[in-house]
Amino acid sequence: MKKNTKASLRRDRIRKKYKYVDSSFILFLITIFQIISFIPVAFADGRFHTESATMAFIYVVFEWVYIIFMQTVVKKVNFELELIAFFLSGIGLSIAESVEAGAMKMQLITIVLGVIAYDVLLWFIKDVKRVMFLRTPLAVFTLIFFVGSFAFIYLTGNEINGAYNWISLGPISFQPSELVKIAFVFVGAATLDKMLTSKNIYMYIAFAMGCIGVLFLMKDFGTALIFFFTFIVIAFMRSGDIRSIAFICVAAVIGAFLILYFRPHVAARFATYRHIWEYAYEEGYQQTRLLIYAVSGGLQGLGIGNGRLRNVYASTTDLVFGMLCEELGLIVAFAVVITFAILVIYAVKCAKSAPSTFYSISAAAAASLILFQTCLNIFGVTDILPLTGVTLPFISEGGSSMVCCWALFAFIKAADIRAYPNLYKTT
Amino acid sequence: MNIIWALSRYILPVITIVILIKCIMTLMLGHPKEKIYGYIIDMSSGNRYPLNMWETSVGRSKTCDVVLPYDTVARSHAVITRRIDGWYIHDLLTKAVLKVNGETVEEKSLIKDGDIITLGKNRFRFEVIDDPVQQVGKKRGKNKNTVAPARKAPTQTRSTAQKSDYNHDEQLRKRGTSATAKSAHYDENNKPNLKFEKTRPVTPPVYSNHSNSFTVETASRQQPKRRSRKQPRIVNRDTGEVFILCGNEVSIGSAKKCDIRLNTSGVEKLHSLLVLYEDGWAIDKAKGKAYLNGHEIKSPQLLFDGDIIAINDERLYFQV
Amino acid sequence: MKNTTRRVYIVLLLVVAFFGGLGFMLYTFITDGTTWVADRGNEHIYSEGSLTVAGTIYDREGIPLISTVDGERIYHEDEEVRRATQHVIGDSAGYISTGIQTLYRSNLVGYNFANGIYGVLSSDRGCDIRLTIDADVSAAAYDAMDGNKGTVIVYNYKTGQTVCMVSAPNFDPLDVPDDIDTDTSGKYDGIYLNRAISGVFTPGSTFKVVTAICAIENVPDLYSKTFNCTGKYTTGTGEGNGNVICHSTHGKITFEEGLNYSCNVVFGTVANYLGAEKLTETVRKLGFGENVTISKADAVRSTFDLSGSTRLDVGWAGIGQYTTLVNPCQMLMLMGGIANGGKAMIPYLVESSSELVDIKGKVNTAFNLSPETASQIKKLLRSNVENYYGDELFPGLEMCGKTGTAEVPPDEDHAWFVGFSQRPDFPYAVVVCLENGGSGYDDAIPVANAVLQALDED
Repeated sequence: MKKNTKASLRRDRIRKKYKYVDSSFILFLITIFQIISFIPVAFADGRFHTESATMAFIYVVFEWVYIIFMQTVVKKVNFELELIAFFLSGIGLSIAESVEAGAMKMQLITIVLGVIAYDVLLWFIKDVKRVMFLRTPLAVFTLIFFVGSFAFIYLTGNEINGAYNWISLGPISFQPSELVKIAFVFVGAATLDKMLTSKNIYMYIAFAMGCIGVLFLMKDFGTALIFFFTFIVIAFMRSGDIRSIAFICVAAVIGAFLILYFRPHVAARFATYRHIWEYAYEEGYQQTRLLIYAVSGGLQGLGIGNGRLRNVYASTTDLVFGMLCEELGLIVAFAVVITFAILVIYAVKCAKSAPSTFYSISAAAAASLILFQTCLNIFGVTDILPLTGVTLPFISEGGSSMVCCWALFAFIKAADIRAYPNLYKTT
Repeated sequence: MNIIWALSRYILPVITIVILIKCIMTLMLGHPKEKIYGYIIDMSSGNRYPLNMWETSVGRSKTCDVVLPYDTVARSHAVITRRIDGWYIHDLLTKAVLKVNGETVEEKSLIKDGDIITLGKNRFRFEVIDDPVQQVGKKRGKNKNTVAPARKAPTQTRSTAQKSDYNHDEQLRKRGTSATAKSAHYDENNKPNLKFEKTRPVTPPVYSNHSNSFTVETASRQQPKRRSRKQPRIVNRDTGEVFILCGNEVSIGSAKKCDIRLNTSGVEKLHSLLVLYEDGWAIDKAKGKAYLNGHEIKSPQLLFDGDIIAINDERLYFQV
Repeated sequence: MKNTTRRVYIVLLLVVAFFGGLGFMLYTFITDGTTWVADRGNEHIYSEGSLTVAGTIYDREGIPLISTVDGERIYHEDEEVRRATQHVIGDSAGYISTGIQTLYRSNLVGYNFANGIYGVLSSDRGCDIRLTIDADVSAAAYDAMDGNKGTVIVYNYKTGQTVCMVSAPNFDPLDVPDDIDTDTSGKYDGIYLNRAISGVFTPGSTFKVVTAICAIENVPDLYSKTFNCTGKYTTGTGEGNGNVICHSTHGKITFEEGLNYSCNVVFGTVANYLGAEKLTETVRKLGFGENVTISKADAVRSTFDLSGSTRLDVGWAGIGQYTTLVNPCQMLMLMGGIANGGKAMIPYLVESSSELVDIKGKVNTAFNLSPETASQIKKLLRSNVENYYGDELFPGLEMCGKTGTAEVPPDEDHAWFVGFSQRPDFPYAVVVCLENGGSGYDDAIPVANAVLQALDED
């Protein structure tokens, strides 16, 4: 009995200790990290790049202003997720800028957009009644938008790497599928009363199949796989029906095999899988280079700007994991991807005590979506899984992907009852 | 190879690990403890079902969070949700009866502490421990305005229900008798509530929309709004005011010196007295008429959790 | 809600899968990293297909055979040394798959898992490797081969240090023939092949040593038996029989004389007397057909297959013909095992490197020869040189050995000499194999002598 009390006292103390992270200390560490990683960027080629340095400075200031503003004016207390996101985005920024000077400006804007999306979404889903009210209109709007985007891309003939997944409007280009990801989670999750009132998920299945169908038309199979995975997670969370889910999975696998059988050119994409060294100068070029340079970096890396993978096509997008390994080392690279895995565990923990099943489902779906995408990326480029060409969350260069990742973090954050301090604070 | 990197290649991994571990530790460990936000109390058996989640499904099925083993309860009957503006009960479109304070729920209905929820033929009292409305901070006035109109007309069910066959048998009213003991003389055949509704229709009390301000002048004012499970307290449903009972005697009346002040007309200056006996708190009649669970108080009556004291239009709930 | 939130655990399956994948990735990084980093696509260490940063490779006396200066690979200044050591060192481009530069690439560029190639990039210098090869002896061997194809290997049978491993044909790495990739006449066929490690040849009479070992172990009155050589040995009558032809008519001779004269009749008779089963058993016990790794390079397995053979086939197999093919290093270990009293050391080439695991000085566990048999066969081999070839061919070396002239119609014979010196201060075994080089006695023995004399003087 006594022991129990002691143990619980200790638990309480630990709990108290970790109730709030010391945001300014962490942000200070992040700032040091960013200064160190931006120095070689700013002094690349032996001269001082004013623009790069300014951008880096703006980013650091932005982080501080955001956290201080949220702490003092909005009175938020927990910033772990924001800090993690800032940290990861910062790594992506420095890599993007070091490969191509000037890439940072656009990336910085998208980070700011992402932060805004994050906070707006976090505020919006605070009231689940509002969310439930908007769900159906959003689903309809999303489908229309997605189909419309595809039609637009197809008609303008904007085919990039064999896929119709980029909308280009003058200087701005973005991937509609990234924005649809947010809506996909949003529409999928539901409060308990909605779930029990409409006992089937046919409407959601229809919506999901619509989205995935458009992705197939776009020939963006990696993203289609991510959507399918997210759909499975959400459908299971909502129905708990393992047999139906297994049936859907089996049907999907059969469908995939049929596609591979009847469309040999799709299968040809995967011809190099597990044989990249035999095609080291053809299709396997990027992957073999990635492996060569990833191990060249060792545990601590060769330093930003000293790598050679940067000269390979798509080094800041698909292959950015290799850049991390080569220039920042295996420790940093693994720490980054393991963070995504731990966020899934965190989402699971939060989901149990979330203020609504909407938060539970959306957090689990968002966190596992991010981890699944990470898996597809890092295992794809290292030839453990077939290469699908998806981005690494936060690190890869790309505006819509960045906004999407930040917005998905809002879903994870919302499941934590501490996200809205005045909801759980007891007198 | 630059010299900076020779040094920073050791620093960066360390910083990365520290940042991520610190953040993750906080994410994982800093969660607030699970707590009970309220109860639904089976009025026939006295069973208390804790509501420890924000959304609780209620029904006969084992998959529900609160399993009510009654034939008239649907497999999945209702969902009680704690939203940022209050508690709601949602009808799950079953054919079974779902009423709050006697009114059938269409889709959903806001519920408050003490409301009587009817699921099929069974009646449950809803009790709030932790009300989100109270927590939303200092803008209480605003909340009151938003909540008050949503409130259904106050009901006879409440009074009738409480007034039902409550037998104030002194022996049963001993302090320490449990809720189950209280229900000992309820039997299945004699559903007191129904009987009462038929026989004694009660005219709805007139409700003034302006709030009565309760002020507590004496010892009890120390922490007037504090919610403590241990201390007995008087709750005014309509205003949400809570008075912790402390000391030996608490007075209720319209006079300024009264501990619990009721400003409506018809309240005597010293209307009633709450006295702490050995067995617990009791109510004594002073100058005005007061009802305990529908019965006029003529002699000191011991108070038990959930008792309703009616003084004119005011209804005060006693909670332990 | 509990019912729904309980289902959230399903996503932990993904976490488990993720960590599984990450573990597998780490495992492949650790195990295959050395291969990947040394790939020719690695621009950190390669430029236009040749190594730009790599350590120096020294011979056993510390003479740099190849080194990097200002991003250029610098070779030894003597062309004969360059050619003689070419197959051991390998080329920058990695065409010689058994070369040290290929197999120890990651080592030469200073790669290790923890630091990657940070060390070599920050110092512009890889790690050095010291070989057991002697540049001068190798050059002497190459010189003695006199343009023949083939291989010469010399190793210390007590330690396993290989002081000479020359393979021909080869080319001067500083003067690569222009037509090396385009030639179709076949003059560069197998030029990237280290014949000592990657070659197999018909052993001819040198294989009689194996038959002799089998006979010593299985025939009790071997030395008292006499054989009558009439120029041919008829295995019997009927299908599958025929004649094993001897190169001469030796008349009535003993077994020892039979080995001295390399009489095919004697060994054909003995082989058939022993039978296919016992011969195969001895060949297996001597480690033929087993995989041997010589400083990371896998030697090609020898083949000896008598399954479904006739008596005539067994007769030919007993004198090293039929389908038998041996790897020169395997013959070297046979000689080493006999010389070392039954314990065969595996030859090695790398004396020291930054490699963590030392793979030198290992005993070939597949080689089983009793010390008694070893001393008997040693006496017989000594008798070969003493009584038949003549010690004057190997002045001061106290050689034991066996020549071989393997018939590979329609081409010219392979000339073999396998042997070792029994001088205690000179524990070296030698294998000379001249592809289509003529006769063992006339062509292989002078090469063996030349290289051993060079080593002895050294």
